[in-house]
Amino acid sequence: MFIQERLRVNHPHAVHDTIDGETIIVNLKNGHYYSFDKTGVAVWEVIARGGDLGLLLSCLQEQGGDNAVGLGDALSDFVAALLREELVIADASPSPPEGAMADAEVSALAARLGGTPEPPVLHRYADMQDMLLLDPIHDTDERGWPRARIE
Amino acid sequence: MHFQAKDQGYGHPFPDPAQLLLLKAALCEGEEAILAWQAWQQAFDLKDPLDAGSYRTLPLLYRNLSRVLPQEPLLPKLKAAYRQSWYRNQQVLHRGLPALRLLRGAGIEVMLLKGAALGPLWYGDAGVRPMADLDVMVCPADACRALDLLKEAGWTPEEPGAVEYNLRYGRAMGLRDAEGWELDLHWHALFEGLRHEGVDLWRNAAPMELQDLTVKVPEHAMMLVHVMVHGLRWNPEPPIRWIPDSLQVMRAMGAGDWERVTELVRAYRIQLPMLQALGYLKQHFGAEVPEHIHLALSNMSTGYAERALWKAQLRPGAERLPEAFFPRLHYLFGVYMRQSGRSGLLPNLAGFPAFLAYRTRGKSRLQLLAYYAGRAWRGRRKDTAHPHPNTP
Repeated sequence: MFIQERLRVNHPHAVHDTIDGETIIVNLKNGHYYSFDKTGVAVWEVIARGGDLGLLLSCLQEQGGDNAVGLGDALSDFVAALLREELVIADASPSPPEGAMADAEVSALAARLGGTPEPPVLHRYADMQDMLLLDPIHDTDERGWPRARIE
Repeated sequence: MHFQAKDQGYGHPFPDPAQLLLLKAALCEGEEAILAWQAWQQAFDLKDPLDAGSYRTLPLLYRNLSRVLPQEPLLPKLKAAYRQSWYRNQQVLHRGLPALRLLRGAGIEVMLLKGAALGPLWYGDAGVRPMADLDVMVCPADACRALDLLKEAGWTPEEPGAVEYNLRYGRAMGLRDAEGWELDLHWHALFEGLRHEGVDLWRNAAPMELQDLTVKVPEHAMMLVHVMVHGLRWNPEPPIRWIPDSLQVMRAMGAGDWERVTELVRAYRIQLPMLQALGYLKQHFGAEVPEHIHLALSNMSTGYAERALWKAQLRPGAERLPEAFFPRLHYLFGVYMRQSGRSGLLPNLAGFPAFLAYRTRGKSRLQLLAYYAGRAWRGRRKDTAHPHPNTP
């Protein structure tokens, strides 16, 4: 259901960046750190640039066919988590922002994800001290994440 | 050959061989970066303890290797260092923003120094240049008021007993909020400039938007001078980050900026560190310095204080306890001469005891004598503990 709402990034509390296919976010109100990749990055880009999330879902379902079964629910859950964590909020303005992501760009973004879009997963890291004191070389797995501590 | 972590290059502003390889891997293009990375890996295990200077290079190393060597298996580990740096930088800025708002709200101009300005403006990347604290500069005339405002807002000076002396002889003061986040309040960018800078530095500063605030950042030339001269002194944490910082600033500089560098170097009498820094970057990283600028810097005369201080700054322990009494006194006299603005030996000797009192937290002359005698004795015993490592 959240897919039909117009949303925006919760500036200035949510600060984000996308580095080599991974979006990283910090919620400065509580210090929590978040990360996601692939489909999650596409969803975030559409929200951040004021695009049509419903269109993104339609494109992904269309190109995914049977592989995209359940994707609507997964995207909805993902967006609900973004809202719950106050990383995005409802955009009450009557029209899309100036320079908003065009539909053609949304379609192209969906196409880049290919025919088997993975359900997006929001990784949350809630212990700020652990995050600051983490030894990134020794305390991380081969993927560079302290997996045991991720929620 | 196998490099040891924290070997004799530890703390020195010029990299040891392992640090140099790591910097080349982080800064050079294509094959040169790959070869440096491979050589570093042959000589050093990433899982061994890294010195703090090398550790701070990892986010930049990640960004460069992910571009030139995307199949490197250690990239995820390096990315973890990048993420951590990005996260910390966001927190440092966030924690410091109320202080900036407070100062701006009181009509005090603020200028961001070091990482807070270098990251977004010169590197164009919020995670590549780790910050430990937020460095904020105000005009010297606003220093007392800024300090009072910050103290009222809950920022505590790291050395409460040294405030008065620091305002007189220092260039900056470290403050902490209730949660331990750090802010360095500067009123001079360099202690070499205590008697030389002022309005001119602010006139050429550039604006930077930071959420709802407009703050200032140094012009290219001042930023280069700052990162070089500030970085080129012995530090418990190897200050090798002056190298990537300088190269990044130099990439943005035009002919006019180099003329301004010459002007600043002349005004601050910092040709010795600047010449050495520029020469090093040229030799090891192929940095381009206009020939006439190099010539102009080379032809500047240097005084006793500059030479003595420059020599002392590169000595391990110059900022800590003396290995011997007289070299330490010699170093401090050089520091004082740079800061006093007095000419001639006698006027400087007359003012030196007051400066020593500052360095020894306001002790009386008798206490001073006992203090230095004690330090000379401890120095002979190779005692290296000192709580004041990084404030000349």
